[in-house]
Amino acid sequence: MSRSIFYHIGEAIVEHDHDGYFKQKGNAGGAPDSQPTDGYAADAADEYVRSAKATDVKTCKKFVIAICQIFGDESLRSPNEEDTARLLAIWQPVRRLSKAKPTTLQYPPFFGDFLCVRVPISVTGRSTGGTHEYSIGFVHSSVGDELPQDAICSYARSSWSDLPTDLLLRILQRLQLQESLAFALVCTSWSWAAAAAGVPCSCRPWLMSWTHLVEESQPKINWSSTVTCKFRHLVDVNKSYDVDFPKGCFVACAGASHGWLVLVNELSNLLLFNPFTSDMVSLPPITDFSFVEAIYDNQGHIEVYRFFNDGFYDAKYLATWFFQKAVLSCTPSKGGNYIVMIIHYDSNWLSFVRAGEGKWQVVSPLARRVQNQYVASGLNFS
Amino acid sequence: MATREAGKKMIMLKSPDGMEFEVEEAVAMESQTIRKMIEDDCADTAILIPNINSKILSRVIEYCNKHVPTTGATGAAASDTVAPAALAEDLKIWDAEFIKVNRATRFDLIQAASYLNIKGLLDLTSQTTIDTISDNSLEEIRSFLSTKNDYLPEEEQTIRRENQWAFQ
Repeated sequence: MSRSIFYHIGEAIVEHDHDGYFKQKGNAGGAPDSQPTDGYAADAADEYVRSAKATDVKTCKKFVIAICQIFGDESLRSPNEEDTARLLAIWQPVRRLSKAKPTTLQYPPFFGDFLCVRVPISVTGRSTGGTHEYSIGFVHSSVGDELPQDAICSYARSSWSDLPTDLLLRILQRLQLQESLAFALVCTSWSWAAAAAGVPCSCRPWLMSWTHLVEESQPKINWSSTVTCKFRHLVDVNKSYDVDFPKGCFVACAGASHGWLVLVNELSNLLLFNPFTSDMVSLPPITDFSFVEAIYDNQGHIEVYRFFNDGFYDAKYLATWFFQKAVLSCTPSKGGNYIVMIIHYDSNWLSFVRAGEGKWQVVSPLARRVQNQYVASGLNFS
Repeated sequence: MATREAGKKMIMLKSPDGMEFEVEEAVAMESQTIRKMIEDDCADTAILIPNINSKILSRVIEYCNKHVPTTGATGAAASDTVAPAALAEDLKIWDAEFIKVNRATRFDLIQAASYLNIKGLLDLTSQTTIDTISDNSLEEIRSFLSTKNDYLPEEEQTIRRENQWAFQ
């Protein structure tokens, strides 16, 4: 319970405390007394706060009655249109994650509980036998045999699509990525569970091969179309999946971390790409390095790059050899504050860039000796 | 709590349709939910299992009965005569037979396992569901589990297109 709700309830109870029961009074010794209100066995507080079982039970009853009187009108009524809209709005971000449009027929998984389950609440317990039925509300009751049959039966869900989310998450944990994508497509409540479980995110590594791109001699690559790479799952390496990359973004792959690929595009610039969500993040261009200068053709397109004012390199050719290795400190998904670190230019340079920054920072033009240390210690820099 | 044999506490489990099952405490303790109740002394008379009917509850008890000697403290007696590996193999075969039920029963079992928090049964029922999902195409999963496809056709097409590679 959040602190503000706790205080809100506390103040409301004191405000409506007509017979002064909940007012803090001094005990025989003059020290302030405390009244336990819920969550304990009746005699659990005997030793701890020295209050008797009978007092605790009486306090608890008074507390429940006070809560029902003060908040019952609003909190125990059937949900109205406004409530429904609010609850649905809470679920919209999750719904968006599942990449589907909401329709009027679809409710979040917990909605069934609110709309269907009518649980009787035993306000005063067995002693008076008085039960009142409300539409919302769950009271843990030890007098379960007083629950009518239909109320009990509505707990039990009737279809596989209504399985509790924690069960679905349990199942999802053990599915491979391609299976969990099929899982998400079974029905919308399963797709909510999949979104909650972070699908598409693979817990097992994939192998990506792009040898067919390298084997073809450079001019033969068709730059105007998408590039397709073969993905293989370690569980079954004989089965390969064709994953498409958008046009022009894939000439070489410099590295992969946290489910993201660091690709070199046809202008020799680095970008981050998630092959399963198709999300893309551009990194600062290669011309950011002081020794690289772009030379444009008549139409204003980059034609070649000039290094140190003497060597000239074709952009696409440069892309195949300029970057040796790239790693990410954490995932760029969900606004992660990642750092990309690269080793480039004949493995001689070490540079990095932080999320949202527009400039590469060169750490050392002699990366070779730091390379081993940095691989061994992971990304242990700040 | 009734005591039938020396050293063996019996626990009464009640299903909401009025059936009562008397089981050994060790068997009932296979369920973490019931174990907590017993340990917290909330189980002075009978324990009502509010959302599991007698048919499913009897199957769950059958499962717990079978599994209690290998995992419980009384395991010594059983493993004296049979090698543990052979016993585990037997249990596997027994489990495979146990879970050969129609999908409605399996659905009730997975929910009961989740509610009663019986790890072995939860693993078994989840694994069967996982096998169903991994071995079948999307349409087969839907028809096998008889889940309603509540996607709009265009929604489904969009998602399929985005993850086309996975549905090859």
